[in-house]
Amino acid sequence: MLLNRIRSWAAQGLRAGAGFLQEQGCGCLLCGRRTGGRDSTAAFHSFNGWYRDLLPQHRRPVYGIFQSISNKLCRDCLVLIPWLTDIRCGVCGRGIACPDCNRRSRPAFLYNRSAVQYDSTMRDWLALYKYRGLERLEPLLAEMLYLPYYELSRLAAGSGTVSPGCEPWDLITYVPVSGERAQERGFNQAERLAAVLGGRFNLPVQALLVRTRHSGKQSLKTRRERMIDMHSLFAPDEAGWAAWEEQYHQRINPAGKRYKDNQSGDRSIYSSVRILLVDDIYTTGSTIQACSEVLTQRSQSACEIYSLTWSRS
Amino acid sequence: MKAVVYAVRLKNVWEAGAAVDMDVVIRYYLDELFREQVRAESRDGDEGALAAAAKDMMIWDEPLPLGIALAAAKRFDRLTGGRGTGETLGRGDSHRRCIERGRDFEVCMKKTFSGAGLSAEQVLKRSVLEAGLEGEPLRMASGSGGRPPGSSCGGRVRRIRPGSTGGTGGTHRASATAGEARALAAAAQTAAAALQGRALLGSEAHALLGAAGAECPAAAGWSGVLQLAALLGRLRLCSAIARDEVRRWPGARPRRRLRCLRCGSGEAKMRSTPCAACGRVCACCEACILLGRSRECELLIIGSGQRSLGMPAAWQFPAPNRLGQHSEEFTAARQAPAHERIRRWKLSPAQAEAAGAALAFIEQPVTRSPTSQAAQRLSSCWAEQVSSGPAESTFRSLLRSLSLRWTKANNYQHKFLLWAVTGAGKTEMIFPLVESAAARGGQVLIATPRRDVVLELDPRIRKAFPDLSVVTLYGGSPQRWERGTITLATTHQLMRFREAFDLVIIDELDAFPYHGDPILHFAAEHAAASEGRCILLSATPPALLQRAATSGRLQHARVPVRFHRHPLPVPVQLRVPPAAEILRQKQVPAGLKKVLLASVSRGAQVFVFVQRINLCEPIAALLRTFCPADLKVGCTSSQDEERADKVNRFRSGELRVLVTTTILERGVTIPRSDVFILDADSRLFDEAALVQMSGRAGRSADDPAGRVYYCSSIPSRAQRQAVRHIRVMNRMAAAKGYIIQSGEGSGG
Repeated sequence: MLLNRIRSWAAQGLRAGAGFLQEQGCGCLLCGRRTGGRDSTAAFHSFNGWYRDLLPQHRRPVYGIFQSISNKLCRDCLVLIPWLTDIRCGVCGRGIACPDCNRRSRPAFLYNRSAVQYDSTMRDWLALYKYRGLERLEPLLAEMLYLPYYELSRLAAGSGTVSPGCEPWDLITYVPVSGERAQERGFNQAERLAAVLGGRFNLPVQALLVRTRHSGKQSLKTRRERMIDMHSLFAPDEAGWAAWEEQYHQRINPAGKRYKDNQSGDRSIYSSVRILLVDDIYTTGSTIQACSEVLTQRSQSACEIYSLTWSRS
Repeated sequence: MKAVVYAVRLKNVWEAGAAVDMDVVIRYYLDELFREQVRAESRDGDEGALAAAAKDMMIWDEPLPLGIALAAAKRFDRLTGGRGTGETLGRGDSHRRCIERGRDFEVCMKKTFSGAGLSAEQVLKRSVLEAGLEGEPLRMASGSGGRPPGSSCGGRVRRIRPGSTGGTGGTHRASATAGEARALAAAAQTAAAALQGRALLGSEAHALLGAAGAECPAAAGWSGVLQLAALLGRLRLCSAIARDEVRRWPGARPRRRLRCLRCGSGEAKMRSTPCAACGRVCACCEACILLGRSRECELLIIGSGQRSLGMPAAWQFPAPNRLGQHSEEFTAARQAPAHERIRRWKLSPAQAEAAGAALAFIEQPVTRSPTSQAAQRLSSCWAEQVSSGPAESTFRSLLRSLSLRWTKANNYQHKFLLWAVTGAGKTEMIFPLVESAAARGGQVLIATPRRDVVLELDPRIRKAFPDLSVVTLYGGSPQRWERGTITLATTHQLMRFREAFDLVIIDELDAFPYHGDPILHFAAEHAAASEGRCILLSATPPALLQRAATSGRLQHARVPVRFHRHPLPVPVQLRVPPAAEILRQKQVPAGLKKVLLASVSRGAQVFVFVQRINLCEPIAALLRTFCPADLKVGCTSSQDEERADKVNRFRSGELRVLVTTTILERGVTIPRSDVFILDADSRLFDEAALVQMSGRAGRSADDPAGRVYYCSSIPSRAQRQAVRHIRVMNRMAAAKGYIIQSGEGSGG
């Protein structure tokens, strides 16, 4: 009897210990299998495209991101990611030549860059996160967003040098969701991604837009419907703008001289404001276009808007 | 989701609650016109008794996240109950008392805030940490324009006196509101009936009510309907994740732990994230996320488990085993003795004996444990002495928890294990049980872990019981919101039921994913009604159950022989090097080749089990090299998209040899088949897996002596155990005389 009891205790203890070790080794976020670690480097050629266009000082963090992602996914899931490194359309960062960008008469944003090509796997992942609410995927998706972020930083900096810790952005903002959607879903995926990005690169994240009405899911509409639907869908968020303007003017002393500030690097404060607009998916660009128009209209100084999206369809 | 905390004074006791629709609550307690309509609507149901009209009422006018609101209400009840002032409150100086009470209420609200960590500074700090910002707190729902979550404790207590609402307006308006109230009450009754025995999240409940044909009153909405049903005591509204208090020993400080009320997971599976719906950081359960997200601020609706009116007449009477006495109605339905009813299903002697034992088990009255009997007696006599009050309710809950703990200690008393060998015909054995429970007006659940088994079982059950309503539930099932007498479901679907079934049959309980998944066990445990019975079916029960069965704690019946009454094929040990070695040498050992060709030439189809998915294809290629050209060799695994197609081709006999992993260890029946297990000493093959794989051979009466080969260099412990298991079953069958004598068999 007693022996039995002791034996069962020992078994419980062992099980608890084993469970603890397993937690440390953590499985794939999607399928729960063992993660690949270094083993998976060979199977992962498409990632290497990210190294190609980057400035030398950005290569080290990109390697770190690769390590971090491959610790979160198993080998099989890792190779499924269709990285968008082979860019044909310089404006919207698409993998194929893009009629939408040519058709757009007055683009309100400069560039868009996305991390992945939107395919059925990526759709499933995004659905798991957005609709099912599997929030453990959030760090993974945000980390995937770091890569086009570096790319976009390079574009924004132009010929100027970009060193880590001296980012070329004034602030990050995101595409809002309607109040009903936020109630139903519990979070705004774009806001979450922007928040992680802001935390990582030490940039201010500010809500500058509100959605004026509850429109249906964009994914169920055609391009033309989307264009019509987008009309006056977004409005500036006055509280957010006020907070941002106050913050912005704090950087300028009353005499109008340049305040020493390592956030804006060596850029003049009189140059236009650079805004990074974050969203989860770029399909026709109508959402980004509508948001950018509102931002441009509302902004008192000139502003350049860059869009960073997780996937490009 | 947010809720409003309120407290009402009924006669002389204060009671608190959290309302998802405050308007309905106020009208229910204070508006006499509304109460009349509700009473009229629930007259035909005897237990739809209204609570007494409130003498006084107060609300906290700030809507709070649901979990916090419920905790506040609970704390209020404990605070008022703990001091024993509940009874004396109504006498004489009620005014002063109520002021006192009012202060108490505020104190309790304040305590809730400090308990949930919702002071402004803390939230601010947390937001800063999360957003990586300084100064400006994270704004949650962009576009809602609300305040930052830190400043959410700006509410105050508001008093509502009887007579201050209602009674205004002309007769026209009064009649309009009366009609509206009537409609609301009717909708509440239908909703309560439809949600009976269910545990659903808010959105699921809306879908169910929509499908059940209840119409949503425009004025109140679904939340009003659910609120009224909850006030009438027909539903429970709770937050999907709640903090429960666990005392390690009596008198210890309670530890507050988060627990998912739907799947029973603890804090290890929770993830706390900022939530736009309630404006604070709230926990979300990741264990059951694929059935919809259960959150701290999400509404979970638990229907009443008991039978109540508004249901078909047959359901109103509990099954006899639930009352411990047989009422007149049922003697007519079950006049025939057990063996008569079993004979109808044409079972073999071994099957009939086991089915008879199970039938006797589900029909016998419940034997209550002495402790729970004593607890019930105590609580009933206490209820006589004290009319009602919070102190009494706490005492009663203490007794309930005591008796619960006792039943947990010997939780096998409502379970029965049917331990039947592979190919014994388990499905046929459950037919008489289903028939018996259905005849007594009970509801039956047949659950298996696998979806394809559910789909396979569906036509058989429908054919066996053509006049009963059968509902089949699995992920994406079209019958998702229906209820029937017989419910066929995958074990995951059980999470949507609570105390709903009188008879629960769990098939293949040792199969993945049911085995070793605590949330599915929780779901199965709670799907049975409080006195319902549970039948467990398995060929290879887990060691825990085997021990319980052999020691007598768990009632069980064994079926040691197949339906065709031939013994199980005993596995033969073959000395063969590991599969990896065979592949390296690119040559199948001569011994293995000989028996394999012998099997093929006798016309059998061959299962070749390997331990890993990546071995399937190379082994199949190797087998193709020496097999005759017209012999088709296929391979499949869980990662194969054409799996269903290949299995069908194997079933039809087009493929003669199938190389596969343990995914086909159960559920596939091939009339004439032999089994080869490569790497049988692998650690991935435990005793249960080996017995199941061996059970693929010799399943039909035409070819009862299939061949089973364990190919390994040295027999492992699991292999020896599996062989012993099969031998023990054969010996037992022979001892009971179930096995057909060989002369008889060959003659027939």
